[in-house]
Amino acid sequence: MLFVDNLHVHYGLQHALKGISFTVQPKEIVTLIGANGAGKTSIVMAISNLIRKSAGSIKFLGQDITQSEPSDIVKQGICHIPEGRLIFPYLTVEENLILGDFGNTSANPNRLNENLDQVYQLFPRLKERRKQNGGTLSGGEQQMLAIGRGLMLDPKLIMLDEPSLGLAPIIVEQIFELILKIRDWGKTILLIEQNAKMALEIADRGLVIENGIVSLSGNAATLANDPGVIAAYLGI
Amino acid sequence: MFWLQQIFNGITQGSIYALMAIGYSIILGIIGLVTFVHGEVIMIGAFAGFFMVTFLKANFFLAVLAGFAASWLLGIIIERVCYRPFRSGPREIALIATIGLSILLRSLSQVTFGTEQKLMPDLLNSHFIPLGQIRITNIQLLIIFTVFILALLLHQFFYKTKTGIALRAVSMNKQAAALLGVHVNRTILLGNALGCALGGVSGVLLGIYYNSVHPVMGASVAMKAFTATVFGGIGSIPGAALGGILLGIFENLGVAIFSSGYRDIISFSILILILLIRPQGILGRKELER
Repeated sequence: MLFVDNLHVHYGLQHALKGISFTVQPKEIVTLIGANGAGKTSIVMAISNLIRKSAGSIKFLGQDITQSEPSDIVKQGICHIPEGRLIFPYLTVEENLILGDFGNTSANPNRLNENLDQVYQLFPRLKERRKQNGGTLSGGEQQMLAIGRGLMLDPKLIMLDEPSLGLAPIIVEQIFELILKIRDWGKTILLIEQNAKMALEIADRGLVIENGIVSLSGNAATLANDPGVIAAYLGI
Repeated sequence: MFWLQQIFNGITQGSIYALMAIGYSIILGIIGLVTFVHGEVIMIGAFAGFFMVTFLKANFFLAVLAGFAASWLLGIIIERVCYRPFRSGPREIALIATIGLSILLRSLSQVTFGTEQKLMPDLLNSHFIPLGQIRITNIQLLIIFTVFILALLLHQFFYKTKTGIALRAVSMNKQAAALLGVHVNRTILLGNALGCALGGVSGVLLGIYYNSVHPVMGASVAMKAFTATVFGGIGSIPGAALGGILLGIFENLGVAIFSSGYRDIISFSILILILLIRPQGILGRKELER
């Protein structure tokens, strides 16, 4: 579904990504784990074409999207839920969700209301607060809003960047359960996480990113038992 | 009764300021920079209305429409010339570009339209409508009515349409809006054109209220628009409207107490006081939380 081939990114003289290659198959959860600054966020930013790539190519559903405009990439069905959530604090919850519809290319004239209903069903909390400003929500609710807004696009691939960042453990668990639920709807998920233990629990496959290269990849369960991964990322 | 009369005159003038300030706020929000060309946008709008009335014998509605259209076009040009080429460069460049364009437009208008003041024909058969003990002209009523209708339409646009929501979203965070598939460049162009068009309408109203238009009228009215925006609170469109009306009332009361020569002194004293006492304005918000 998604093919990333030999991706290179430079920040000035800094060589941040040094030839990243991986694929994501339909209905998979693939997780990218690694330490702060390893290049995980750079990978998704490069896929969304928000930063300049120095080399490499990205294909999605057979189309080359390496140099497409960020707004066109969204319209292909790739939803990027960024680190820090980036919800609009002075727009209401519902307005935030409506914005998620901009990249939706479906011809169904009722899609906005249908998708809103679907998101409200998944997150009853958002429905309760739909007239409230996004900035007044708690961190967990904001993350739910960001995910709900992404679902308004009815995307094929969802790239989630650090959804657990700054949330209480019990909320993190809710979010991860939700990711599984979304996958069961038939969505494909690329999950960036620092919380490697939880990410490997729900993922099918994992890639360990270290200093801009893929140092290890494979089945999530195998990775979770790899002595090197345990020592470096699982903190046991 | 004298004071009531002054307050009413203030509301009329203030509603024109409010329209300017709303346009100014929209531009400030979507571009993220103060603009120095807004006065000339207002002036061009006023001249478009003036030419419509003088040469085409147009009515009030067409004059307002001409001001709207001319300044809308100018807004598109401004975005292409002053903002888009410098979006990735330092912000000061765009700022200076607006100063340059403002000087160019003012001088060009003086060359082409002449430097003298032009008389706006009385197209509404101006007369007084007695209302209790204060006297109101039909022009005053029409100006207030026009601004009120425009404000209602704008409110509907910004809160009830997808494009309006996108405009507000792009004002808050361009990158986040782009990530959702909002066409950011097009939205910025639209916002700037809309803000300028409102300036153009206020120029026409100003010309009708004072029976005159002038190529250098922009300089002082742009400062009024800026004052009203700061007064109401930068970033808040209802604030800009409120700031404009209050500024008009204070100015007229001040003129009644002192003399009309003090008009600008009064409004700029308000600007300085607001900046000293409450820099975020009446309805302004503190720094954005991200």
